[in-house]
Amino acid sequence: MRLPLALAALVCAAIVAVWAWLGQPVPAPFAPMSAGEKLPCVSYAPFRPGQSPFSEDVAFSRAQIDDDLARLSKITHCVRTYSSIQAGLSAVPELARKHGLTVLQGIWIAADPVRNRAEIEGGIKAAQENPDVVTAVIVGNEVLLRGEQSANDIAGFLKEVKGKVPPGVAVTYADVWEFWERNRSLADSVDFVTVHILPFWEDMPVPAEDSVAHLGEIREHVGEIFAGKEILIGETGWPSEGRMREGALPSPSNQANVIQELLALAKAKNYRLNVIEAFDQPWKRVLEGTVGGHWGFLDAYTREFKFTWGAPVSDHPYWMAQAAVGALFAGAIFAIAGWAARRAGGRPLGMREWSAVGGIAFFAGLMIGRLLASVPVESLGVGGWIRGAALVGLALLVPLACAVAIGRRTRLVTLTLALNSEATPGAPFFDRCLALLLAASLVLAAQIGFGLVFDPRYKDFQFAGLTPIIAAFAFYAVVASPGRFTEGRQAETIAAGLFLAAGVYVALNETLANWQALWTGSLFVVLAFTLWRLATAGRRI
Amino acid sequence: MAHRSFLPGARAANIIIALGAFALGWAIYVRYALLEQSSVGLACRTLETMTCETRALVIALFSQSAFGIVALVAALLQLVRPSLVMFTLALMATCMGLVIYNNSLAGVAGGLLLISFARPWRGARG
Repeated sequence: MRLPLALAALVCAAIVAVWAWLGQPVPAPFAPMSAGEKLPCVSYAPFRPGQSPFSEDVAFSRAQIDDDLARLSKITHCVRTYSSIQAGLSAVPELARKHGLTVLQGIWIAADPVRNRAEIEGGIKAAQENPDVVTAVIVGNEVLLRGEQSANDIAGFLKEVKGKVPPGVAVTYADVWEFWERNRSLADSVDFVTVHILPFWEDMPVPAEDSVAHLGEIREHVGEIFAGKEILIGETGWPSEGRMREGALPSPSNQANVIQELLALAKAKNYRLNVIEAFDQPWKRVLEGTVGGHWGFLDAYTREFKFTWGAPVSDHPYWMAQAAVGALFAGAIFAIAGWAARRAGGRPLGMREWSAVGGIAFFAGLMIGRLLASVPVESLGVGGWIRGAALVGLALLVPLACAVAIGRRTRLVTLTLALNSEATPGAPFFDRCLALLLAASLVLAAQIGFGLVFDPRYKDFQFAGLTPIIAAFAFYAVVASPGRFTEGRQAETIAAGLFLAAGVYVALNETLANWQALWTGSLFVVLAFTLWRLATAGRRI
Repeated sequence: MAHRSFLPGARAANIIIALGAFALGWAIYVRYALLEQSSVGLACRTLETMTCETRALVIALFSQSAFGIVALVAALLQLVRPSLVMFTLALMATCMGLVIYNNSLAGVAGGLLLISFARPWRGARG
C-alpha cells in the first residue's frame, strides 16, 4: 500500500511542478511605447466570433464598427482595412474621422472581375469622399502570392485608381516581400511600396527570438532594391496560439515580446509600420489553421488587450487549475488501478505494475489540463469539434481503462477482440471494451497522422490529446502478458509499420527545431512499437 | 473459415497496392502541377482545354468534400463487410482525398481501413 501512495504523491508533485514551471510569467522586453503613445497603424477587420467573409449574409452594424474604432483610437493613429465594400465596411472612413483615426483604405482584389470592379469603385469613392481620413489606397492584398491576378493586371488597377483618387491620397499594392522582389517593375505604379514581413510565415520560418533581427534585415534588403522609394511594412506581427513552424512557436509571451521589439526597432530606425492585427479573427482559422485566428493583440471575445506594454506574460495563466485537474486525474488513475487489483484478487501488484500505472498517471495528468485548454482553441466546425470531443473522451477513458487492465492483469488485447468476435470466443467483456478503445484510438491517431503527413501546413499537432492515450497503451503493453488469441493480428502489424513511417516523417519534415512535431512524431513511434508488441507477443516461432 | 480476418492474398495485394499508388500519384500530379500552379490558374481564365476542365472539376469536387465523403462511405462499407473491391475503392478514394484537400474525412477513412484488417472476411478462401 505504501508503494502506490508514494508513487502517486511523486507523480502528483511532478505534475504540479511542471505546470508551475510552465505557468511562470515570461519577462517582457523594454517597452517601446511611453505612456499615452500610440501605435503607427494596425490592421483592422471587423469580423467577430461567428462572423465570416465567406458567409453571404454577414453584415456589421455601424455600432459594432463604432465600438471597435473607439477602442482602437486609444492605441493607434491609423487603421488598415482590406475591403472597401464588404458588408458595412464602407462606414469605416466616416467612423474613423469621428474617432480621430486615419485609414489605409483596402481594395480586395481576387479572381472575380465583377467583384473586383465593385471593390475598386468602392475604394475610389471612399477616397474621394474622405480625403482628410484616407491617406492611402491599397489596391490588392497578396494577390500575386495567391496567384489570382498577374503583375500587369495589378499595374492596370493601380493606374486606374491613381487617376481617380484625390491628389493627396497615395496609391499602393501590398504583398509579401519575396513577391515584390520578383515583380520589381510594379514599384513604378505605386506611390510607396507596401511589403509584408511575417517571420512566422517565411518559407524558412524564423523563431520569435530572431524575428526582429530578421525584420530589420529584410527591411534593409527591400530598401536597397527599391532605393529612393518609400517603404511601408504593411503587415508584421506574431501569433499567440497554434502550431509551431520549425522553431517558430506561437505563444502569448512570444507575441507580446515580438510586437514590442518590432515597435522598438521601427522607432529606432524610423520605419513605417503597420501591425497585424487589432482583434483576433476566428474565421481565418478556416484558411490558416489555429494560428490564423490568433494574430490580434486584442482578444476576439473579450475585446480586451492580451498583454500590457512592458509587463511579463504567462503562456499558461490558468496553470494552477490545470495542475489541480492533472493531479486529481493522476490520483484517480492510481485509485482505479488499486481498486481493480483488489477486486481481481490474486497476488498484489508489484513494483513493475505500479511503475506502469505511475507512467500512465504522469502523462495523462500532465496533459489533460493542456488538452482541456487547447480543444476549444483548436476545434473548428462540426468535424473539428467531433475530433476534439473524441480526443477528450479517449484521453480520459484510455488511461483509466489501461490502469484497470494492469490492476486486473488483463492479457494483451488485439483488435480482433473488438472487431471479430467469431475468432475470439469466450473473451472477457472488459477485454473487448479495451480492444474497442484501441480501435477507436487507432482511427483517431490515423486521422491526425495522415493529416500531418499529407497536408501539415495548417494542422495542429494534437499531442496533448494523443499523449495520454498512446502512453497508456504503451505502459500497459509493456507489463501485460501475451493474449490468448494470436491469430489474425495483421491490422496491428500494418498499423505499426504505417505509424513508424509517419512518426519519422513528421519529425523530419517539420525539422528537429519543432518540439511539437518531435513530440508528436515520437508518440507515433511509441504507438508503432506498442502495436508491434500487440502483433507479435506470444507468437510461436 | 468465416472468422478469418480480412487480408488480401499476394496477387490481390499487388493489384491493390498498384491501384492505390496510381490514385496517390494522380492526386499528387493534380494538386502540385495543376491546382497549385498560379500560372495554370491564370491561363485557365481564358483557355478551355482538357487540363483546365479537369482542374475546374477537381476544384468543384474537393470544395464539396467529394473525395473525403466517398472515401469515408467506402471505408465504412469495408468495415461493415470487408471485400477486395470495396477495400480497393476505399483505398483509392482515401489516397485522393488525403492529397486533394479532403484529408480530415479521408484521414478517418484511412483509420477505418486500417482496423478493417481485424474484421471477419466472408470471402476468405480455405
